[in-house]
Amino acid sequence: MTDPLLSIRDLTVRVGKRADAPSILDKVSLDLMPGETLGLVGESGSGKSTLGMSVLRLTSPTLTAGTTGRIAWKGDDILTMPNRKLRHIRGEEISMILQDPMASLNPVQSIGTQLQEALRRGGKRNLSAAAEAALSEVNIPSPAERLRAFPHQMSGGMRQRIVSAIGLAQDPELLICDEPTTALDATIQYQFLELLKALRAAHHMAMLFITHDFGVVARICDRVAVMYAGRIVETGPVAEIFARPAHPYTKALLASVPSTGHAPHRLPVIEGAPPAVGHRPEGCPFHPRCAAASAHCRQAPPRTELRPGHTLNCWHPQEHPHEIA
Amino acid sequence: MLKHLAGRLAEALVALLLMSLVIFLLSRVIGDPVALLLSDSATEADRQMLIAQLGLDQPGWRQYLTFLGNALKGDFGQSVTAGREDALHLVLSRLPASLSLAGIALLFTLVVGILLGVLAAVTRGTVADLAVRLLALLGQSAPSFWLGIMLIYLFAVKLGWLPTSGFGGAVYYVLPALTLGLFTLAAITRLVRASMLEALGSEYVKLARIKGVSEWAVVLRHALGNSLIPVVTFMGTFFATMITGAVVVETVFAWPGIGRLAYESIMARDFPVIQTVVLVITAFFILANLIVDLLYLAIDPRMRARS
Ligand SMILES: Nc1ncnc2c1ncn2[C@@H]1O[C@H](COP(=O)(O)OP(=O)(O)OP(=O)(O)O)[C@@H](O)[C@H]1O
Ligand code: SF4
Ligand SMILES: [Mg+2]
Repeated sequence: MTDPLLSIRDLTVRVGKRADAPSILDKVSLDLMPGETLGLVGESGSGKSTLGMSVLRLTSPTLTAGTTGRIAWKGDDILTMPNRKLRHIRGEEISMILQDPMASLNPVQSIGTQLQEALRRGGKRNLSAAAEAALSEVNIPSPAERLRAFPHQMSGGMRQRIVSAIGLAQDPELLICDEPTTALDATIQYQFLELLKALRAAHHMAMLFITHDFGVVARICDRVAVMYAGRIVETGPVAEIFARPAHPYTKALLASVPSTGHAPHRLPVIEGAPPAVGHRPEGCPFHPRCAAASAHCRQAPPRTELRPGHTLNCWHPQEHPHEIA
Repeated sequence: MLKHLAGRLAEALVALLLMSLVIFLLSRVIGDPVALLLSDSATEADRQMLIAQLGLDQPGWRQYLTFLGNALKGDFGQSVTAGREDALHLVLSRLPASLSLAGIALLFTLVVGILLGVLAAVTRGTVADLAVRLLALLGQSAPSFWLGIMLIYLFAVKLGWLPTSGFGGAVYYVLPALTLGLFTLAAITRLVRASMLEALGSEYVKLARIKGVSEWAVVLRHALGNSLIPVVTFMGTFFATMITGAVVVETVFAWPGIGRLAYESIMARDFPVIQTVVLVITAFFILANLIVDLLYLAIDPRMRARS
């Protein structure tokens, strides 16, 4: 077996340094193999973006101060490495497309300046030619003209592609995509997903793909990790999770996906709302909303491996195959 | 872009015209120029003659047009004080002292204010940040006349490092420029700190970090440019603060500028000079706002698109 590219162990992110500060992420562990695409699914507020940003140490100072655990990139711990070393991993080895493409570009700099800054760090010589090529790669028409434009002059779909071009400029091995399609309308979503798949193949990248949409997971991911209230509750190969979801939360999420495969924007999937940071219940955080809950569930469930590669944290795995309710 | 500028220029002219009307009306309401100009021994006949001579027997709009026409010719009347100096000439002769003081104060304020604001933001939560914030708070709460007197006491009287007052070479500028600039310096520091913090938490700064850009470049190339936009926005207010501050500071430091001239002419009820000072200041204020407009266009591409 090859070693994982990225290996996260017991990642806990608290709002501040104190041990009793509320936690956003609670002992998250996951592995990502070279070339693999892992989907990270969960309702709003479950901590997906915090997890993605922690990998590049991009969370706010309060959260970085409250971060414990280990994020090993090719064996080196990102959380403790010196800034100078981290800078060479950022962009060159791991890159990220942020959740908000409209706000990700510097409003006072031209597209060309922002793209070339990344290309220069990637060691490109002929910057303007490289910049045009980078825009062509993400299907932006008349790239030479676009390079002189400013962010406010472009549509959302265009900005999203420019942000992707910047993310890819240094040819990273891992691309973290934080809900890259959420801000786009349906037809552009589809195009953009296809573009990402093509780019993934061309750059031989692994991907950490954050979404709340199982339809997107089915299209682009190899494996999926389901998050609830700052924890990973179930992981497994996409086909396996779709066919045999075992965690009550995963089952409920899947049951709420309409047969078109497109989840609406922020869908209220299950009765009740996920608990807010600082108000998460003891034991299994899902128990107030879970139909299968028992007295056991006030204790934290252990991680168990149902089948090779399919793990979950639940006292009462739902073994029977998933039925559309 | 040219159209935008032409529009702003037209606005400026209207503003000047309005200001001249206000000045004209005020000078008629506040004082009786005839009483001021006549000596105590003057007779009623002298009085009537003077009224006719000054055109005060004419209807109001007529008087205003005359006033405006004279103003356009550069004739703002004469000072009523003993010298009977030409008002415009008097004001213009005092202008260089004021401009050099305000220019130095503004430059110092901008440079130091931006530096301190950036420093506080990047060292957020540390002792350095706390010290800067405390200084800024003091700078914004201390009245400038009190500050001026304290500075004179400390640096001129106690330590003897700097002259107490007066006009001359570089050393003469230190205390008045400090006094004049400190309030604005504090304001700029707080403004830059707040907008730097906002920029440093923004998504585009995250994207810059994702590229692997060094922390220096993140601060200087990405965060700073954006956090100067609010400084430019408030520039007009800063000018106004400096102009009003100049009256106090120039008086405290016996600085021969138009601020002190304004104070002196008010004390002497010298209306022609007061009017001229106010008009000249208004003209500068309008000019300053035009410059701010141009700065805006230079710094923010979104403004360029809109205009
Ligand atoms: N700096 C912070 N300080 C305090 N709480 C924070 C901070 N950053 C995030 N949170 C909280 O942590 C929780 C998880 O946020 P996060 O953005 O990671 O969720 P998410 O799963 O990405 O949600 P979404 O689908 O809406 O993007 C939220 O409740 C959020 O309010
Ligand atoms: S541990 Fe209990 S409460 Fe939590 S998901 Fe499983 S059955 Fe439901
Ligand atoms: Mg998010």
